[in-house]
Amino acid sequence: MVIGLVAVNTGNNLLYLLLAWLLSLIVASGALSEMVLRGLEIRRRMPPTAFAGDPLTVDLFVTNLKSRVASYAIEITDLGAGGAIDKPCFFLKVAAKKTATARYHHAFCDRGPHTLSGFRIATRFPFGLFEKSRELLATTDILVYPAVSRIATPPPEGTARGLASSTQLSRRGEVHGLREHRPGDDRRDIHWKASARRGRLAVREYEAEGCRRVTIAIDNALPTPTTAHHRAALEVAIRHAASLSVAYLGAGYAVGLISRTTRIPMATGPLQRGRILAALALLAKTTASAPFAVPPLAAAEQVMVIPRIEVHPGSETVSP
Amino acid sequence: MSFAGAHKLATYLMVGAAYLAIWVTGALPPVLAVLYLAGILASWFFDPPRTLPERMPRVGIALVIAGAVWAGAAYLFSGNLIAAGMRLLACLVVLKLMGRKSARDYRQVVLLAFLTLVGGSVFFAGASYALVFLAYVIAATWALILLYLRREIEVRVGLDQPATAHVIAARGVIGGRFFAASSLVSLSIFAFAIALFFTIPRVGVGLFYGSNDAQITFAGFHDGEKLGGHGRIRENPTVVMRVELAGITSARELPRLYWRGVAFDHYERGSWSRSDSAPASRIVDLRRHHRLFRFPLYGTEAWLSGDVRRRMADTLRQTIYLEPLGTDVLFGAAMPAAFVVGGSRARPGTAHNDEVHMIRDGALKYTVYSRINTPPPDLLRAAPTALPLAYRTAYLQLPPEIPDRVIALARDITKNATNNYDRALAISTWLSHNLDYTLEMVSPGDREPIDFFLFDRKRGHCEYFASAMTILARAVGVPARNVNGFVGGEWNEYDQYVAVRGGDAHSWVEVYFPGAGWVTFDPTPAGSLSRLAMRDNGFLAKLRRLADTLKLRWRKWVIAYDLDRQMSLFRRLSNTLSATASGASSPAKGAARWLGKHARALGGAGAVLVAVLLVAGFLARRRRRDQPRSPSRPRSPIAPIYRRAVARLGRRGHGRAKTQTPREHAEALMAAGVPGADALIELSELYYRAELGGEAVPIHRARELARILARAK
Repeated sequence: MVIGLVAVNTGNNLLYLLLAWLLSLIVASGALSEMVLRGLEIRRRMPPTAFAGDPLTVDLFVTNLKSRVASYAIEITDLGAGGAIDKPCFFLKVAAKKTATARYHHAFCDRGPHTLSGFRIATRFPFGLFEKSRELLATTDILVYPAVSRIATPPPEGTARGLASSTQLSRRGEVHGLREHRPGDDRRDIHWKASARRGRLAVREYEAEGCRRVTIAIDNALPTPTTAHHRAALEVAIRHAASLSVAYLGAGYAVGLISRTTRIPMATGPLQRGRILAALALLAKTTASAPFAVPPLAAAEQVMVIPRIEVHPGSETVSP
Repeated sequence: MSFAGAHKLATYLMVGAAYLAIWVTGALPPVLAVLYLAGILASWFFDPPRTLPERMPRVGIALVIAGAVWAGAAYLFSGNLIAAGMRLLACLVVLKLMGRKSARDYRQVVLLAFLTLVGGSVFFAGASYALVFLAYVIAATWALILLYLRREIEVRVGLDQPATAHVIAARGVIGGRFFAASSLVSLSIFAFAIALFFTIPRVGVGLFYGSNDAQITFAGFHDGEKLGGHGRIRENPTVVMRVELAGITSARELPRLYWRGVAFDHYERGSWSRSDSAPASRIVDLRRHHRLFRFPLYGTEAWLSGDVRRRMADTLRQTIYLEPLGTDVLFGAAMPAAFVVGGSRARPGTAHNDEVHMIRDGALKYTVYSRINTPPPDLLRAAPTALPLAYRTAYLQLPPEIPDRVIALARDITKNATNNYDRALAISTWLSHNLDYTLEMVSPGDREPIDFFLFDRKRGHCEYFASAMTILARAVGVPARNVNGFVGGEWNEYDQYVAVRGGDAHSWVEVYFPGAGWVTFDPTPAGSLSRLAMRDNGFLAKLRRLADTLKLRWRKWVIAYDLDRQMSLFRRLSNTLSATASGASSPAKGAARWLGKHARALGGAGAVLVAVLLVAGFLARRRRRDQPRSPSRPRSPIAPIYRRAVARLGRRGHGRAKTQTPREHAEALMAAGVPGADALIELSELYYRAELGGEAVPIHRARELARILARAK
């Protein structure tokens, strides 16, 4: 600007030349930034699930598809529903035909499904004069489980010890039935004939013998109108239910989950843990008019988790 | 090379180029220039952590104070603020280079180097500035890129973190390929800058500005003349002006031209000067074709209607690029008929003895139209002898110290002549035949210089010959004056122009013939032949002329590029384009015929090309859209059902924003009362359960919900 003013004032052509050079730098800056951002392929690697409040590791892979030109000073931000989900990752150089990686840690605060919608790639290369950015669509869904805390496992009201049949499922024992293959299943359990017949992978489920059973029942009905305190109480109840489930499953119980909108049949093991946590992660509020998916049994194996709202806001407690 | 090494090298190259920009202008005295260079070179060894502030904390402050004092003193003595500022800048550059540690220090060095370059451009710079500028552009591009990367490293990693030092010291970040690519970028930037340079409108307002063009001074041409003052007139190769002559394309066509500058009427005690009573020509202004023509009227000439055509007939147009001389006189081939000085607020004016002056800053470009043909001898012989009083007083003046034998000699030489023309011719011939030319001069002592030259020394240079002829002519009643300027010049075959050098300085005589005007006589013998006659075709001479061509182009297209030239350039471009469009030129006609003949094929090829481009664009867009995907994982069968349902909603204007989760999207549609939103809420929940919860949800229910959603309107 100053050079331009001085050039116009003096009419000195060498100053005009300098002005033209400075303007050319700006134009070149735009073109080079564009070149740096072109031909980049970005991938994200992260676990499909996480616990609320627990940091998870996200790996970013940037591949420069250009055959000769390296890309410098690239800033990549992962985008979520509300914009950037964390600090950007910086890549000083991605050589031509090479892949560079960066890693960041991020903790989701809220349970439930979260969508990482894409990336924002930006650069101020080559001179740091202007920032050029673009957004790339790359959707990844992640389910954030409720936060789980270490909790004592209260004995359910009554026990089911001695029942003839158990619904605790384990990898070995009598075959309980077939179900669809899920990620993490042992390949040895694949029932190939059934898979061929169905056209989809099917795995065997086994019954475990002589296990203890418990059903976590959570009442997800909230009064209308619903306040923030009601919702907070439900979240506390869900966290508690999740902690109980994990504790019981860890203690070898067969655990089931029922709510007014969900029912997870009783089973044991890490897969069941995932099912229950996923159901709790997705649990939405409903009204008292909605019946339980399966009416709570009077049986002693049930643990009821009901959000209880105290009179004074902010001091909700939950009684199991 | 490590990143730090590359950055340091690029920064020093840039500083070096900026230093050269100052050096070529001569803004710094030689001793200071050497000190400055020594400081830059010494600073190379002040790498962190052994920088100057760490080694000698007080030296930096002392250096700044010394620089400030130095600059202040320079300003007091020279009065040139910019030249004084350059001294302070030199100190600061060296200081910052010795204390460079982080990106911030390098950024300051870059800024100081740029200011140095700006300072250099404010001073007059020759064509060598172009090379320096190109070097600066390349080095600055490297330095700026590396500076930016270094700053990013320091900001991202942390200035004092060991990791920063590790990255900066790393090899492989910057390599030969980087320098090659950024050099290409620099050249592209340079080319674009040149294009932009010609395009930026020249609207100089010229407030608070005075040029600092260095003035050329040399022996040979003087704004005033004293005989016997020289020990020796040296050959001076400095080009003082370059002249493009209209219609002349080779040395063979070039006439002997006298570049008239100053003229003197009064001679006394061996010195020539202008008297206050000497006649001055009048100027008539006339605007033609958006240009202001200024016609000098010599002698008693009057401006007549229709004079423009008569005065412009048989004239030679000269475009003159005049270097800054120590005089404000405008040169032109004798005798100038009109001057055109465009793009300048100052206008030429006349002084005594038909000189044309224009106050200016530095170099100048202007056009002169001259009548170079001498009137026919018969016309001159028939010219009347009666003179106006002012002419008689000024141009027949003889000082009392002229000895009688000089006057007697004049009468003797012209005893057979019956008119002023023959008298002038006789004197000129006698001088050139009877006296010798030499540049070796001997002081006349107390003797009258012309008398000493004519009767004792009998050898002299052009000023003696011209002075002697003027005095001899006046002694026999022929009105004459001494003229100073340049003669001839060196023809430049590369760009078809005449380069007039300091060594071409010359003196000659103008004799006045009433009714015909002033006529040039040159009594100097052929010993002082100009470079035209002594054309040197050696390799070095050709190389010198080639270098001078580059200088002219620099002067013509950069230094003297003004609004007039810009408009002319645009007009030429416009004319070329219109000529091409209308098929005026034969190549354009040929091209048009070819296009007509192959129109169908070209149309087909064009259509195919457009189609290919469209398809390529579509594919590229699709590829870009789909390009970065996270690693794929098994999808549940409900995902496509959900996606199709959302896409259908999108077509109705209820699509899901990128920042919305499926549940938020469904709730938003519900809140907005969009039909079918309740079905979408249920479908979203099924989608979550299947996709994220891994549950086996009823597909048939999902399909049913999708159908409900599709029907809802």
